[in-house]
Amino acid sequence: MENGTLPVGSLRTRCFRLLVGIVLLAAVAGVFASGYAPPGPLGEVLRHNQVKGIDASPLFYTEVENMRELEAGLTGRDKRTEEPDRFGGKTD
Amino acid sequence: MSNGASTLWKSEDWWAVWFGLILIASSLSGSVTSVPKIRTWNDNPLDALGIGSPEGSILLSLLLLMIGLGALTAIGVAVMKSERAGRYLAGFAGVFALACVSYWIANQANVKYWGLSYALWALLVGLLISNTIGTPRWLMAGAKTEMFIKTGLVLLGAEILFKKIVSLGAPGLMVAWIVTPIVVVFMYNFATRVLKMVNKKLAIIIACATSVCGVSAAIAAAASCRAKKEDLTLAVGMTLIFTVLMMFLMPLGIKWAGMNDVLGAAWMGGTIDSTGAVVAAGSMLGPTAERVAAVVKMIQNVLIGLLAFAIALYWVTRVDREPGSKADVREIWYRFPKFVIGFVGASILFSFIVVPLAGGDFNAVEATYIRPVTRVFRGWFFCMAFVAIGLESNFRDLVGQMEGGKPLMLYVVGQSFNLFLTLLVAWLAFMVIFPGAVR
Repeated sequence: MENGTLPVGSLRTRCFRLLVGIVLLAAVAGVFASGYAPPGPLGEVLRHNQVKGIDASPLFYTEVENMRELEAGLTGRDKRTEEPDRFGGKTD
Repeated sequence: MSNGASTLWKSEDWWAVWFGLILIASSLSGSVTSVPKIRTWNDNPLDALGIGSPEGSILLSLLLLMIGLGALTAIGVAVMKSERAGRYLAGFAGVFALACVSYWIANQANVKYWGLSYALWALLVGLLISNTIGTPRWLMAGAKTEMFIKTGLVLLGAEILFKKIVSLGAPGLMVAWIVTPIVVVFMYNFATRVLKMVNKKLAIIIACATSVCGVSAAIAAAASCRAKKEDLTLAVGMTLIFTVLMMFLMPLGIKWAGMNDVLGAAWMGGTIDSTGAVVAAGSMLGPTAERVAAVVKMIQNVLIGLLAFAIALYWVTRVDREPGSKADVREIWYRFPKFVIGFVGASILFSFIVVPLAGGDFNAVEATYIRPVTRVFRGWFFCMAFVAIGLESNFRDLVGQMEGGKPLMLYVVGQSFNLFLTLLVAWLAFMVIFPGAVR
């Protein structure tokens, strides 16, 4: 196989490494996906997120699904969110 | 030096602008009203693809998206002659599939609660392949990291609405816009003068990620100063780890200290890197705190466009300038990363043309054009960019970027300074100068 990057070892060794890597990645993802939360205060935020259903992963403000409500709650634009969308588009 | 109009179709920077503008135009014209994305799932992995759901499967939509984005970007690749179109398309399909896998992991409900975004999983998926079996050449042909990043940034420009900066009035602006530039300048100078970091690009990426908005700012800074992929990987890795730590620890510390909720929220909004983690941490202090934290972060997010422009200008006029040479306007224009013009231009287009044309209702603009279309396109481009970075990186190169732990030291010192200054300014803004700003 032609390679763009060149890790050392035979194809068999590299395939074995890939398999081990996939298992490790699946194990790591599995731990996070299991719903486990560290005991005590360290897991408090996580448990809070689970109870309230808060997505803590957005990188940018437009990725926060309820950003409009959060913003409206501070700026008094709540009533605008009740108005129909002038473009007829869906709202989050 | 290739001058003239030919650069408009021969440079990747300009192609990123064209791709971004075409996709933005598809949204504004109503040609595209929604873009498929991998759904959040809980117990059944097939829910991510909508298989068996009442709304129907998204498999066909994903296939069409892959074909559409592949065909669009292949035109640029073919015209630039950076790759044969056929080879690129085969590689693009592979990269897109890996991006789907990354989104699939990231969109598991419990994974989202940890604040682990698609960027992390995309990097890991790419790194897994490149560091074990090796990235095959056919796949590498589709890993156009810079093209994906720059196109994603032009699309991100549409999400930066300047009107947002007044959402919390003067106190919000004080916390988000006074502290941030000071921290960037402090960290850059600390890195180059005190730590004597050789890699100035890594220093500015870490400074922006720490003080603005984590991964998004790191991407914008890296592209603006034309940093290496390893620099971005390192900065993103650090910011993702510290974001989770700060999300866990800051609300506990604020509660323990008995700090005022609004002050604590403004503090977290100004210091925790990513918006999702800010919302989660703010929510721990109550509904008002959640709103203050989120809006402070949002105001800070808007800075990203100005910052990218400033970094690009600083790099071409100061850092990359030949010693003794004068940087005239033509030379600056030649070396200036053109996609930044698309990035800032998209922001200006939406802030000062699209929103006013919509009667000033930026919520409607967000709901119609940005959230369902340009934001999702941008997410796909960034996700593919991180997969591509992983496919092109190896752990040995990453270790080589560490300069004896200096980047980590920069992050810790810079974030400590950020924490101190943000708390001071937030206290002044929300407790002393405008005590009734938030009720």
